[in-house]
Amino acid sequence: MNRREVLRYGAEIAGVTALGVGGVKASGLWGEDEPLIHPPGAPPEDEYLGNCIKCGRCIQECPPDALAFASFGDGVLRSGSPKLVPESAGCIAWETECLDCIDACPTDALGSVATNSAGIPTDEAIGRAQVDADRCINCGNCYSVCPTDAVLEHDKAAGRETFAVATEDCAGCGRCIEVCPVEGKALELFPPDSRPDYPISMHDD
Amino acid sequence: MRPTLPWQRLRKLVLAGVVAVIVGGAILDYATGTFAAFGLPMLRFFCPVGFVEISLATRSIVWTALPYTLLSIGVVFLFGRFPCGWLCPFYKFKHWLESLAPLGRVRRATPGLPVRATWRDGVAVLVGVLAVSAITGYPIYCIVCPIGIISRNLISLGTHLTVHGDVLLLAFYPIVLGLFVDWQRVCPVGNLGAVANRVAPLKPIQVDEEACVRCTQCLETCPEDISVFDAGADMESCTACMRCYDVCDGEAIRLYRTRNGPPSE
Repeated sequence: MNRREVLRYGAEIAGVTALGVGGVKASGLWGEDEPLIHPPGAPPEDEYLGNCIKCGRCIQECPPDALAFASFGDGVLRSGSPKLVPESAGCIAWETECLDCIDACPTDALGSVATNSAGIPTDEAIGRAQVDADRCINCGNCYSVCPTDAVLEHDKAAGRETFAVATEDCAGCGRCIEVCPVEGKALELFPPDSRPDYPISMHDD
Repeated sequence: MRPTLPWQRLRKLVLAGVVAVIVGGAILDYATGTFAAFGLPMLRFFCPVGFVEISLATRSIVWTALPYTLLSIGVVFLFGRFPCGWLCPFYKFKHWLESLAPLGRVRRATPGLPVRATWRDGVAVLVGVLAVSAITGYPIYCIVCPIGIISRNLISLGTHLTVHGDVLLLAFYPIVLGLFVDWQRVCPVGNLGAVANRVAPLKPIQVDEEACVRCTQCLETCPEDISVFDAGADMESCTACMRCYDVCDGEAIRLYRTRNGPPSE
């Protein structure tokens, strides 16, 4: 290689590196506060996004088609990684032996999850559902579908006129949101470590 | 007589088959994989660029993906850059987009590409991409990789009948890079094949000088502008598309023979 070539390739490496690092740093500032629900077995987000090559095998595999690709609106760096879309379908891993997304993952982006003898996760929570008391019509669909019995009847929830979710018992599967008949849904799913807008918990009362 | 097969039709069929398997897997909820991690649970191919990216990003060797990565590298080392010609959906898409007006018209009006890229530029881009992954801890190329974008959209179509927003990024490559740079010579993934074409023991295409009648039809048909009948031709961008093989009057094109000598400049 002569001097001109060294300069040319050096400039290309430096240019791509600067553009890429700048791009990642700039986009990291945008959209990362948006609530986003990952599939089961996802490690903390930095590690998760570092491992995910956005191949989509988990989305292909998911039996209820509950997973979809995150969009740029969900945070630029998350775009293309899988997210749970409970409005179309919830995760069935707490109802029946599934976790097919973890099996399909070709990297360590989705790690193993502790399960009981029936193949149901024991310690995992991918989110926390909350009822918006102003929108709930008390139909009870969420109550009957919840696989972890985290939805409380209104008469049990002291001082509440609607159904409510006991955060500690909620696995975040989103089945309640799937079956909620209210236009725009009366329940919302938050990441497990986030501070929900409607903090309703029996154990706190 | 050498065996004659409808190579060009076969090539289209192979690509269509792969696309059908990806969309079919999405519809039937079975992870057949995509161009990034293709195959069944036990035998699969893993994108080598993706592997190095995530290994650098997480500062650990991703053991789960290592065997499949080595398998991909081995196949490319043996057979060279054939995935670009036979499997890459973007390669086809880019050629098609470039042939459209007004892109094609602009391209034809330009005497040559402003930046004449070689495989070395591709290696430089790859080094830059890997440096970004190591510095930021994020596999940056996966998000903009045209092969990945097409894969994600095929799955979105199969599962939810929608397209993913990043499909818009696809326009960027043919318009910006296709017009100013030879993208196929810079593509970080395809360039692994270019390096293999240079150093691997087999050369995808080689000309039997005795049989060659110098009709130059191979030159005219080659989409990569390789001077195929020249023994010292630079084969980095050969995608084993078989067009020269099909048109050769003297049946002088030999496939996958050991190379005559070291690669010349």
